[in-house]
Amino acid sequence: MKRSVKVLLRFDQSSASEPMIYYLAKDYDIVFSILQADIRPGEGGRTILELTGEEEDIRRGLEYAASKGVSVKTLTKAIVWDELSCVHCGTCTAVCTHQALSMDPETAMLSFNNENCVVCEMCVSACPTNSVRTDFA
Amino acid sequence: MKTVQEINEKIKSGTAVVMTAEEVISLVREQGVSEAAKKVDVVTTGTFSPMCSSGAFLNFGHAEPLIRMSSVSLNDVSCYAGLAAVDCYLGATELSATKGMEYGGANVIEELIAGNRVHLKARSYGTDCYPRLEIETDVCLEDMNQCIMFNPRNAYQNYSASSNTSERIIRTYMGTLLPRCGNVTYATAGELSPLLKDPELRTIGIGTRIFFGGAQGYVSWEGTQCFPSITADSEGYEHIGGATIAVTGDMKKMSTEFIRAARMDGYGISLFVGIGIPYPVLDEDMMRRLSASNEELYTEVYDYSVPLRSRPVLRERVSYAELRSGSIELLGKTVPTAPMSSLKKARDIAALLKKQVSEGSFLLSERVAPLQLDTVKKGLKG
Ligand code: SF4
Ligand code: SF4
Repeated sequence: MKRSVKVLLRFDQSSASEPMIYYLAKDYDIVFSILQADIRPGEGGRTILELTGEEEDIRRGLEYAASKGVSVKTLTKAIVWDELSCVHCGTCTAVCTHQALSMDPETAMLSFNNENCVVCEMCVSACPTNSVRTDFA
Repeated sequence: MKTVQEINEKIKSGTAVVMTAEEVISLVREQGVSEAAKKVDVVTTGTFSPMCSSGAFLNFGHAEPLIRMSSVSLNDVSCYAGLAAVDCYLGATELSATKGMEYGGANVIEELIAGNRVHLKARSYGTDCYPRLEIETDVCLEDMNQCIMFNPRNAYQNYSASSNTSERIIRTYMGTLLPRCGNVTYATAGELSPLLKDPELRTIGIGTRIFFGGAQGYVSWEGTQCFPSITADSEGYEHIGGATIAVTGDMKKMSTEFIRAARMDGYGISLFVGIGIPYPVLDEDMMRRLSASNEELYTEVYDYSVPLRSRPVLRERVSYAELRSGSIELLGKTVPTAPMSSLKKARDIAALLKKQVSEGSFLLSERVAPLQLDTVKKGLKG
């Protein structure tokens, strides 16, 4: 499933000269927006990116970056809801005070609105079927 | 007006009119109880909730050489082996010796029903007729002999809603309760809930055929702590509650659609059990009960921050319609509500049961004996 994460990448002298972002886009099919960047070739620096792509591609892409000596820190962990294993009990909605998780009154099914989520992670431990988890935890 | 035999004849000839409890509520609103009682033959119900008092009797079959298992574990979850040589009881809430509250008997049950293999370790003290001292192997449902789910207390007729007046978060079998009455949780399917639809237990009894975890099962006895009651609150509103049933079914025929492990944070492991009961519409009175809607079915709100039998009541009466609306008034403020029981699955069960009865693959049964109802609630001294 497609998702977005914000990551902080720190480059040292040698990794700053690698065309990292080019490879991430080309080999891992990840779409970027650069939220902040301060990199000097030959010196190093940091950048904050928002990456959008397949969960697995993002994970592998970041692994690749790490293997090139880039320090990777996920800034905003994201909540992933596994709709297939969810039983729509509603237990998670008891702790989601931001209404990111809510029950549809008509269908009685859970819906997840990522925009409202503040990643407090209360739902992760509350879900009886382990159907919500934090990504990149 | 109608008998179960007559209704079964109609089911067999494909002419029975079957509706879910939700559908029949709309019908009664439009046409009245007596018209609906004439038209409809069977009303189906459903529930899908965590039900702790659940488990299964398993028979592994005999090994070569023979072993009389005296201690048994499956995926490190201990089973009760004080039975015959290769029999045991796997309880849903038993926790794993290695993973603690993350994994328990209910997870083993779910894995077995999913068709997975689980790791059996058994030990014995050895006897002349059963010399073997230990065995370690993987087993799956298909390889075993009988795998009989026997749940001593399921399908609570009604259950009180819960909130928390204390200053701290409490983690209970009713979910995570936020401080200062930050939320209210409730655990019944309301108007779809099986035993709420036959409060006097006119048709439920030993031998009643039910939908159980995806298979056809039976009511085997009254459930433990079965104390059915119909009482009026201080304003004269009728509250139904307290009946439970003990149920039996073939685990090999069950599905993980309707049986799932439940990890209750800070509490332990429980089992989501899907149960549905099809009711014969015997007469108008039966139809009146079957068509009771969420607006007419009530429960109470209790304060779970007081862990005593005498925990305080925060609201004496709240309807399931209010609970379902997403918030209720409690102690002068509007408090969000959350279900613990899956209405979606309850609907799926009622609809599937409707289909099975309509097709003739699920016949109604006449009970063999009524449940024993003159029980008095006893406490434990100590
Ligand atoms: S608590 Fe888990 S299983 Fe229940 S509705 Fe939420 S995500 Fe689904
Ligand atoms: S992490 Fe917090 S805000 Fe986000 S869905 Fe879970 S409970 Fe709601």
